[in-house]
Amino acid sequence: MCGMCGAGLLGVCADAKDPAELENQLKGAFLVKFALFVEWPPRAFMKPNDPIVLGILGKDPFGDQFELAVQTQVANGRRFVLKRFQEPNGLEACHILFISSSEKERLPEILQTLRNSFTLTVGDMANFAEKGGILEFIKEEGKVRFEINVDAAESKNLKISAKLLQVSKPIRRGP
Amino acid sequence: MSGPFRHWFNFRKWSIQRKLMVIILVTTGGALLLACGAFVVNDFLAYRRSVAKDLSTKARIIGYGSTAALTFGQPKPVEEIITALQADPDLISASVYDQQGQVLAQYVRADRQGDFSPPQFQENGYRFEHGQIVLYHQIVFNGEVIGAVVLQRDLQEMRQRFQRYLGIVGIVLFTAMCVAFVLSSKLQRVVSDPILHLAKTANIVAEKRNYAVRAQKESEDELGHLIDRFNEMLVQIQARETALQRQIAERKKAEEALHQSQERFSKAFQASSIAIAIVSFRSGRILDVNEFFLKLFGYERGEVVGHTALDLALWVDPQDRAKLVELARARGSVRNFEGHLRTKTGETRTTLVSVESVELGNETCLLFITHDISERLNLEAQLRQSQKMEAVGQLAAGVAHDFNNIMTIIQGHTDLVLSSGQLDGEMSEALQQVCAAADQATNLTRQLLTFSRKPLVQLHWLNLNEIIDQAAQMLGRTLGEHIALKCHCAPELPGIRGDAGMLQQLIMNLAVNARDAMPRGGELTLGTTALKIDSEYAKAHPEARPGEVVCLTVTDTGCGMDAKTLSRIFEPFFTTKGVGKGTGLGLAMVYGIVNQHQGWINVASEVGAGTTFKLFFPADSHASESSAATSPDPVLRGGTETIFVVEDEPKVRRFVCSRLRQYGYQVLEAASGLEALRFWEEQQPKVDLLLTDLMMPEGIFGRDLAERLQAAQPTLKVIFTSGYAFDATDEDFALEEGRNFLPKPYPPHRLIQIVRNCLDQPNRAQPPKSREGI
Repeated sequence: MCGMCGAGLLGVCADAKDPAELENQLKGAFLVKFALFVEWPPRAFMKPNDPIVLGILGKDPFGDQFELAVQTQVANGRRFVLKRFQEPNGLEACHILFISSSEKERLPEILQTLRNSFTLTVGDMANFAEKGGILEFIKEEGKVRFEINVDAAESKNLKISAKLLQVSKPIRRGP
Repeated sequence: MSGPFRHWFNFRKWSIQRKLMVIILVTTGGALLLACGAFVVNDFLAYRRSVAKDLSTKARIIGYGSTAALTFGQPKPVEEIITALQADPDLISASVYDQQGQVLAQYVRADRQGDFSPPQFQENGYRFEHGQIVLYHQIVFNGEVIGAVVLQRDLQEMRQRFQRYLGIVGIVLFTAMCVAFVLSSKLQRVVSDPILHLAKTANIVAEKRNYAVRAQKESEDELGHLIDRFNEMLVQIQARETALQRQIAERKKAEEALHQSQERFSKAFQASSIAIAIVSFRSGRILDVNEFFLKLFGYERGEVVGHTALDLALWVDPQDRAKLVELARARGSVRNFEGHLRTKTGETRTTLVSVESVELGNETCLLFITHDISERLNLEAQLRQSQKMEAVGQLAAGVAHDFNNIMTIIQGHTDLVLSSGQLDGEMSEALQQVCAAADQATNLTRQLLTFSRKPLVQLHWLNLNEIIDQAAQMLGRTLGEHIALKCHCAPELPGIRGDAGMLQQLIMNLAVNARDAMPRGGELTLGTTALKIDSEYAKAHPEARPGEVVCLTVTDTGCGMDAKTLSRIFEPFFTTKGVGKGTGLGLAMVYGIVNQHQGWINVASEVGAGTTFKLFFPADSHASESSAATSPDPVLRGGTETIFVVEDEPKVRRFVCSRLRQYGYQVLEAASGLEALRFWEEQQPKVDLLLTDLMMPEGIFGRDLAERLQAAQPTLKVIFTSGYAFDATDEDFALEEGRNFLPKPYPPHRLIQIVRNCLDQPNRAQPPKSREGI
């Protein structure tokens, strides 16, 4: 079902066979796309052409091609840099951080660490947004959707575009 | 423009007003149409642009709003936006496509949902088709095309709007045209009126040729200037017209003058009574001749013009012509060159030719002026002839006069002796012989006298037929047996005035000549006829006179004469007969007699055939006067009157005086007219009769003497005597033999008779008037 045009953006669609893989790829694509609809505070970038740091904490579900694909992307003139983390150190440098479901236990710690950072936290574990994550991937009617914790974003001075809000299901929860 | 088009729209024939009107309307209409059209078109385009712009904006809005939806594959927001577009009832469809060209969201207007087919596209932009506008807008997000918006909008509104506009334009146009029409029909007069006025004026000028009209100037524009120029032109034309008229009149006058001059020349040329020919110098061809030329040479004009003199063989000797032309070339003109020219009939005429060189047109021509002097030469010859005759005549007359005087004495005295009765037979006979001889001598002298021009002639009215009768009787003996005499006398012959004796003599002379021409016999015919001579004949024969004539013809069948002889026959002393056979005076006498009778002679002769003499005498219808042929009065009576005898020959005078005294007259005598006058004036004698010789010396002739004496004494009677020639044709002088004239020689008894007769005549106050026919 490549009606999900988002995946086509990354040229992923053609290769996918596995629905779960496909889903992950889509999530990966979305991850990059989020950069287009988010506005970081000025302190997030030193120079205008500083890259957007895209971090993955924990198990990387996005596949081998993901890094390559990410390096080709540009958002608002900024490139992407992929960083993988196994330990929650230096996560503050990330503009977008995908917290893998493998870090389920340590989530509150991680979130706590990132409480004053400008990192956009994205995860696909259940109740991620409830627990303080900003973007949570959900599945609705077979399609990859996401929810946005607006409060959490606001507390980090991340402005989420209304358009994103339109396509998501915003939740206002506590931070 | 050709064919039918031209037929309908004969633009050129339209009036100014119509043209102006049409121009204004077309201009107005055109401008308006253009304006309205531009306006409408502009509006149309602007409207379309605005529609497109509107649509484009909408598309962009949609696109902008669809970025997230497209990025994350969520159609819902797009659907919401699109649905909102329903508010625009003109929107037919709105579609958002994703990157793969799949429809993310779509709206189709209710009425088109049945047959909706999504429009195809290639690139960004819009197009108008089928009454709708379709817009394609690619949604670009983050530097890449993530989708497209396709909007489809209905343009019906626009069409309606457009139609409304057209309607408005139509109304506006129509109204404007009406206004334009009304206005222009008033205003175009400003232009057309002066033009029409000018046209009308021009018409007047053209039709009536009235150059005095002027067009009125109303404005200062080009038309005003045109009118000024027009008027100026008219002024010029008028002036030129006047000048032209004058020129024409002058030309006419000049032409008239030229024509008259030409006519004058032509008439002078043609009417000239000398022959003129105009000849080209170069070619020698005759260019023109006048009438006289043609008449003189007997040609028709066509035969002459264009030919040369050599062609026509005009010159008897062509060298003459060459000489003449050479002279003309050398001197420029030649006068009176004697040349012999030939007429058409071959007749030669002697002429004096004058040549003048003239320039006629561009050609040098020679003017040949020809005087025909043949006639003149002829006349000159005749004159010489007659002068010769006259000289001879005068000589003869002179001789005769003296001779007559001598004869008078001889006869007189002889008569005296014979009548004295004292002679015996022998002596008487001898003296009679002397008388006879004297008579013969007198006759001879008479013959001699009669061929001179002015002899003594006594003309009586007579009939030639009688003369011929008398002559015929005598001719019988003269002619001889071998010659047959025939007479053909016209029955009713008019009379003539003539001297019977002379006419007898004439006939006798001719008969003798005829006889001598017919030695072996022949025929002599005498005839008379009456003729009428017309002026043509008189012109051709100078000696002839027009009128009634009597012609006496004497024809013989003798040896005839050649032309050379013929030309001399009337010469005195010319004879073809041998010495001693002829005096040569016969025909001279005939000639003289005919002349005295106011007639003329024609001779025709052919060698070997004979000769015919034709003698013409003017007819005279007057009743004859009493014949003056007096028969001798046997009784001689004398008288006692006084007679004045004037005679220059002393012997004759002595004789006459003695005879008169014998008969009892008183006689006074003078030897000359002068002496007689002197005597008369001194002595104042009483004289009854003057007997005077006519010709006397010392300048006073008998006639003058008689006049003077008769002037002094009107009752004086006069008898003239003469042995001399004198002019008997003088009208004032009437000589009647037997009355007042006594020709010498005369027998004494005659003298006495006449003297007595004269004295017995009753007195007359004046001398008798002239007789006609003398």
